[in-house]
Amino acid sequence: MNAAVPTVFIVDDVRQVRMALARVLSAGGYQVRSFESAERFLEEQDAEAPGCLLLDICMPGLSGLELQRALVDSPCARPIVFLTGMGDIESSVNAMKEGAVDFLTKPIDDERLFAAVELALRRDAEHRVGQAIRARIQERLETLTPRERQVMTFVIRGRLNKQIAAGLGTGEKTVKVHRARVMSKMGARSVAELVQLGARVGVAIEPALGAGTEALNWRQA
Amino acid sequence: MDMLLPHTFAGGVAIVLVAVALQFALVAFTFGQRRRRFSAEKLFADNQERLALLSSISSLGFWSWDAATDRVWASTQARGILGLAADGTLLRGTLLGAIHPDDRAGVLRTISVTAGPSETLERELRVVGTGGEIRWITAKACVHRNPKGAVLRAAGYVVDDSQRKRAATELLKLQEKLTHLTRVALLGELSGALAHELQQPLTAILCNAQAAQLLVAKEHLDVQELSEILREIVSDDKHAGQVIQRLRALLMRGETQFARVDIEELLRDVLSLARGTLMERNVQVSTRIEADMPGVQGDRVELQQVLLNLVLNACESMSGNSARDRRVEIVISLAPDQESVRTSVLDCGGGIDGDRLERVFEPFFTTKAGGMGLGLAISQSIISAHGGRLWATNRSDRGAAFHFTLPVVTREEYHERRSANCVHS
Repeated sequence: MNAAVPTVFIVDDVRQVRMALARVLSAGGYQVRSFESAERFLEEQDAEAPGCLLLDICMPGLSGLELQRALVDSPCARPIVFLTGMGDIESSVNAMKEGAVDFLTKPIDDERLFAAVELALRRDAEHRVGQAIRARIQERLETLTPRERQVMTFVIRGRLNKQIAAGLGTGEKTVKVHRARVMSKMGARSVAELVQLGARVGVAIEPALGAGTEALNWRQA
Repeated sequence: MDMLLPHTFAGGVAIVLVAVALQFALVAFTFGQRRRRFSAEKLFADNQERLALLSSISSLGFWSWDAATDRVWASTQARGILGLAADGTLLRGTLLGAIHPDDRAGVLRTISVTAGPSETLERELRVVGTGGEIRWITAKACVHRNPKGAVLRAAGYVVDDSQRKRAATELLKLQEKLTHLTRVALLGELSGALAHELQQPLTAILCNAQAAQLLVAKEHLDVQELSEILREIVSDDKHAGQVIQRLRALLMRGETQFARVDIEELLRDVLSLARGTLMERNVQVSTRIEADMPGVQGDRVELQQVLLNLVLNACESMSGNSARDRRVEIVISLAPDQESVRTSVLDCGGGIDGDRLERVFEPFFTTKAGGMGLGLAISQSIISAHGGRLWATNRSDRGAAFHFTLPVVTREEYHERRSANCVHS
């Protein structure tokens, strides 16, 4: 199994359905892993592996919706395509609210299935790319000294060197040196790029309430 | 002269007097005879009239037979019931000839069995009417025999049962219809889950078939994979067929069919029908079946209905329990009498109030919001037609238990009980 290729994780308690889904997806060119229950999936899944979930709603034990709730906000959350025998409106609404990609009613046509899986995999890929970028920015941020972080906050807020120097109680020249170091460490060529990088990892651009009292507001992405 | 006259005619006078006296006596005797005959005739006529009246108001037909003359006397009513000519001589053979050929041997057998010098026989039999129509009658007869056991005289009555039988048949049909309707309603409760049950094989079939299409379109064809797919398609299709067949058997309104029923198989079928519903409601089912259960006789579909009804009721009773606390236990064991099989369905719901343990079987008694209140009443009538008993108890810790017994009965006993059950209900 190739770890870089996205996997469709199938969770369905009915063996025949599980196998048939795996077969049609394999024939469609997807890498597939199947599980007979939500519990099994939680135990055996590879949390790092990219991919999406094809999840049956009605299963003994942990149901599809319960698994969705258990995964949402967890680091191994993946886009979910739900399968259901009954087109029950209430559970489909709930599933979509919780961020499901699609809600398919059995029996499913392969084109419809492939389209939903394709969309889910794309979302996963996008999510992972975003995550990788955020991780890289985060790494760069961590190379900044506390003073440089302060300077960066001021720069993001559009302060001039003179204002920053006043705010930090140092000379304009010193600020200039810090600013240049921030720009090189963060790999930003312009203030606009720096603002973008900051926004990606959630460095808040709050209005300055008073010079010198502001600190960076970190939030882990 | 005056004195002479008597002397002269004394003899003649005496003769005349005697003759007159004799005449008088004769006349008196004749009158008496006539009067006696008259009153005897009147009595006879009265009796005839009373008999006819009794006959007509009770719709009984009377008859008697004397072995010495082989003559049969039958009242007008009896002749009517037996489809005989309104007048004319009747012999034993004529009487027997009126009986439906299929019943004749049985009647003769009944008569030939000697029980004592005089005994009363009763049985139901069919006769062929003048128009060829078949009528059910009940015949009761008193038979007198000589010490050797030969029949000397026999007398009795016949009564036309056709109307009663017809009514009973009608009632039986109605009962069957009602049983069928409650069964359909019961299956209505399952419909959602059953659709789900069918969607599984259909999903597998569609996915497999489309996978095969994709494989065929590829340059390199994996024949082994393809034949595996085809095998799966066949097996899934058969599975779907079985689901439909089980359902059809319950939905069809056939006549009741009496046959050997394997109670374990019955349970398996019911549980697979209810599978979807049980899963949907998070109900865990465990079964405990004693080894070497004797075979049970009965109508498979009706018994399935009873068991399905009890299982669904058990699920319903636990709807207030938490999802992890919904267990149904089904126990099949030999009843204490050692002669019937007992099936118990145990739940862990709220149980039944003490005063309702009997009432739950009353028609139209229901605790369910959408219930008709017929399920248990019908189930009870089905089980009692099978010669068994259906009752409810509360379990010692919590929940209710429904038990039914099924004795090993013959086909005849079953049919008899069915119609008897029907007439009384």
